[in-house]
Amino acid sequence: MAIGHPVNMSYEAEVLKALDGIGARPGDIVRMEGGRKGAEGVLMPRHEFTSKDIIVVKLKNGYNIGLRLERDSKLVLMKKGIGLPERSVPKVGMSKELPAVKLIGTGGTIASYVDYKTGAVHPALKADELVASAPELADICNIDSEVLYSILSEDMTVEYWQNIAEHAFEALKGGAAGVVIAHGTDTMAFTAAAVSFMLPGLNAPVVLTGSQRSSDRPSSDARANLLSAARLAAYGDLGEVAILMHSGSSDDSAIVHRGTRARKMHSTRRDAFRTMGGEPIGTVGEDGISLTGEHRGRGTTCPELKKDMDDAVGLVYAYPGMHEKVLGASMDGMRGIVIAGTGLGHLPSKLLPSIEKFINGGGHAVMTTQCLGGAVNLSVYSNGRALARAGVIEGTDMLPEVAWVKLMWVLGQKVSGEKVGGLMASNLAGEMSERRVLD
Amino acid sequence: MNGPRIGLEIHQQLAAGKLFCRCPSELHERVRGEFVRHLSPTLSELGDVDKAARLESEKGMSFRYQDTESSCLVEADEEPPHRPDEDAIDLALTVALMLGAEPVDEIEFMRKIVLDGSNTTGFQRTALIARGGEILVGGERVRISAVCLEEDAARRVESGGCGATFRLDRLGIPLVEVATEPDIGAPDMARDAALAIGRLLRDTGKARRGIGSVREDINISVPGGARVEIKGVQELGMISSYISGEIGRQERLIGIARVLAERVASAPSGEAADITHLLKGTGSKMVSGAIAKGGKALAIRLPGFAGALGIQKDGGKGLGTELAQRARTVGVKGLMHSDELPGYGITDDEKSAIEKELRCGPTDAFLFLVADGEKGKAAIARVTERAAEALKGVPEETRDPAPDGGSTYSRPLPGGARMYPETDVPPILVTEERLKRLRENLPKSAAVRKKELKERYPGIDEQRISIAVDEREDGLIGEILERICACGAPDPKTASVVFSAVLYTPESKALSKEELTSIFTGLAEGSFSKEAVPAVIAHYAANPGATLASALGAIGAGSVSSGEMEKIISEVVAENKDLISARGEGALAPLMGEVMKRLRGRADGKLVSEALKREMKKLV
Ligand SMILES: [Zn+2]
Repeated sequence: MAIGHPVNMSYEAEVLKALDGIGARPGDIVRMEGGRKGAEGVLMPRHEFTSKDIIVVKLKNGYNIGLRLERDSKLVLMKKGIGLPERSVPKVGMSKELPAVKLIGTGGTIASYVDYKTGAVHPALKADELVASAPELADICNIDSEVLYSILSEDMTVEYWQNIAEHAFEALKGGAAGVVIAHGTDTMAFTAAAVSFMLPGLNAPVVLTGSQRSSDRPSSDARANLLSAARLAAYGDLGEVAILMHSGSSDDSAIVHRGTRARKMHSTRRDAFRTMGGEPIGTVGEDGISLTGEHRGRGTTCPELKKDMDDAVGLVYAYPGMHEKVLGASMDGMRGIVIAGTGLGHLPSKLLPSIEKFINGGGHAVMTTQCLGGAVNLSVYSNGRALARAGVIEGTDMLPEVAWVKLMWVLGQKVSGEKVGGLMASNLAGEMSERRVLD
Repeated sequence: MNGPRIGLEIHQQLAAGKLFCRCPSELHERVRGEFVRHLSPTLSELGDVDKAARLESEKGMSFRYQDTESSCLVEADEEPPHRPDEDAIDLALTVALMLGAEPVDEIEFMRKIVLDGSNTTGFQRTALIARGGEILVGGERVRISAVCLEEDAARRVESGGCGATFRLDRLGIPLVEVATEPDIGAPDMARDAALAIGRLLRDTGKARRGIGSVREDINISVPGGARVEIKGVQELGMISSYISGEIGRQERLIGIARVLAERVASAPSGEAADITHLLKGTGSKMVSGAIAKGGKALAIRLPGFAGALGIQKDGGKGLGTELAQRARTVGVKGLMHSDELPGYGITDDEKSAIEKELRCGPTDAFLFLVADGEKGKAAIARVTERAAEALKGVPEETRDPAPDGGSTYSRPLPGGARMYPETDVPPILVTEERLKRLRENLPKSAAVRKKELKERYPGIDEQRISIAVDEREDGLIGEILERICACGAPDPKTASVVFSAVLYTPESKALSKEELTSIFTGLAEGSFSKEAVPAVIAHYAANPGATLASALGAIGAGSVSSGEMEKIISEVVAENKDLISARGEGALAPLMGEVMKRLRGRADGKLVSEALKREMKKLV
């Protein structure tokens, strides 16, 4: 991910010593003298993979080149850099007549800036910067933006989800027509599921969106996604948490996925997200919003905020010959475990005693299928029946990671032990379905 | 230096895999699918967006891209770039070494912002490989400033009002760019320098051939002028005329600026005036038509510009054309100015009315255009900007070459601000071992290769080998010569004829040893003449599995009887008595052509020529 690049851009030992010797810092103009290899230019920070005796300078023609610091090369500091001026963010004026939309920034590549001098990419840290990345937002709605975090989505935790849900809740309570959450795509589906469970009785759209090409590139999908998400939040007849991303490779149409049904199914494509086990909610294109799939419309009553979660829940992926230690470590000290089982919901038979022990000790185990399509059924094969007898809860057709988020939420609601199974088997936020049809 | 300063950038496609993915560098006509994208300028840390980049994106374009068999997720900007193609890096370094340039120690790929849609990413990946070096052009030294390796842009297949369609097959083909210092002083020398660099690039044996495989950018400035880049010249033969044209243009603009300075001309200021009411009943169909469609006529006064807009003393175009080309960038197709009025259906009275409305003095000029509201205002803003530049002389800009040898405005000259590091591509250390290996295997020059081929295949006509080396790949030449020799050519002359014919037949590589042997046997047995060889080879190439008999049947060849030959010759001579009596021996060549045409290559040219000469003598 582009944001990761500028972290370590300082030079190593030998080169650093030489640079320190003349008091040069990245951004200063330096000259290397020594035969035909001489060059004058702006000293650049190094790339993580720059070789250790190389100095990178930006020539007048804009090109960076790497030059080896040799014993006889002479380094001269020509001019101290002028330093980076304060970044000026154009203020985007909002119209009070348009529907109010809350825009929550959490990080990821949807709003980032490139330092043309160094190529370093910085995330948007201020609310204004978020809006400035797509000034056309002001034509769609009256945006109130707030940057909660600037983190990579793989670093999200339960507390972050809770904070996001709370801000969405407050915004809706305050009369916002909808909420847009700018989020890194890696774990966007996890956050969407968490917020879905935390806001029961949701009355308006809460739309998560992001970008697969960071916004420091002219071809970024960030702008199109942000604008479509704002449109959906302001005008969509939707009372659910949704994920909005490109529906194909083109910039002109976005697709709306249910927050508890979406999955990132490609590491790089713009249309990476898919609705699993059902139809997407709809599309947002140049010709407007079209919600043709089954969905909950807007409501008049306020949602509840039930944000408590118990994060002592593990998630494991079953595989042939799975070692007892792997499963054991995932359950040790935990109150719940979700297994992405093989096929109808199976684990190697030898692991049954460990599961029994965990459940007997008060733990909750939920079985899902790593097939990602279709439901779990623990009645068909003996291995499954043994798991059911041991008290493993059938996760029906919930996605493994959604079942994991849900179990944390159910346990967070402090219900009695025997009610956990019932809640896990109930459809709370569109995360499961009773019938599966041919398509 | 007192003359013009000219620099060249030669871009040559390399016959290697694509630079940042493992797709083949091949063009395709079959389109697998399409997608649509928009590009927007990115905000930089410094808050400034490159001027050229901003202008491009202001056009609000949407771009359609066509996916082909030689494009993958990388070209579609749906996957990060892979490691650069090693062959392409070797080739760029090789070119650098051949030019005597100094390679960098570590190659750093950059992103050069390009928002015209030709790159799906919105930038072109490019790296500086080496600096310095030189090439001799007619005994004069032209210094090389840089050798770069970059990815080619997507192929523009269609341009429309607010968008364009590009095909992804060409995107990512490696290009080596050789840039010279502005050491060239004359148009012809620029052409010769381009030829010399092109020859050196072809000496690598890995230069792609065909339309668009070589493109030149020409940088020109005259003393007192400014750097202007004519971008994407594909025809080498046109270089001189583009340069002469640009020198003339810059000198004219400098002259105009001098006159304007004397008149204390100032840039047009204030808003444009709406003069639609003055042109209500105009006889100009163009103007009345545009007004009828709801357009507004907007006019501005150009203080002190009288005479600067129309044709100048040297017969060249004045500022009017420059202003019109700026208006065109926002989609306004034309404008009218006072230097060309009355005319184009605008009467003297209408001209006076406009002058009165705008309060024009005797040295003032005016212009107007007809367009709908926003577009018209945008065009006036561009035109005003250009008029202000005219006071200073020549503005720096990028221009597109026109087929007539002239050029048209394209966009401002891009600045260094549009380059930033491509962090997705790790830097590449240029090792001593790599340079040593490349130095030891530097390609031989064309002259050396010609000499070697001549020594190796003494039977083949020297002239033919020479031309072949200039025009075709070495590998192909060697392969054909090897096979011809292996098939036992009956005599050197026949071998030479067959060599050329095979070399210039498309898909000639497909010709098998058996097919070649059949040609030689057929010639030796006299079943057809040497003149029919190209047709036979073309038939073989197009019809796999064809036999000599079927080939001869299909092309209607096969030796003609001497009786039939004599008959045709006497017919032709009889029909052309006048020509023969007028030109005597000189009529041989045209008559020879006519006879051979009627014989359709079925007879030996030498025999025909002798028989024809005899027949003509009878007449004289
Ligand atoms: Zn590819």
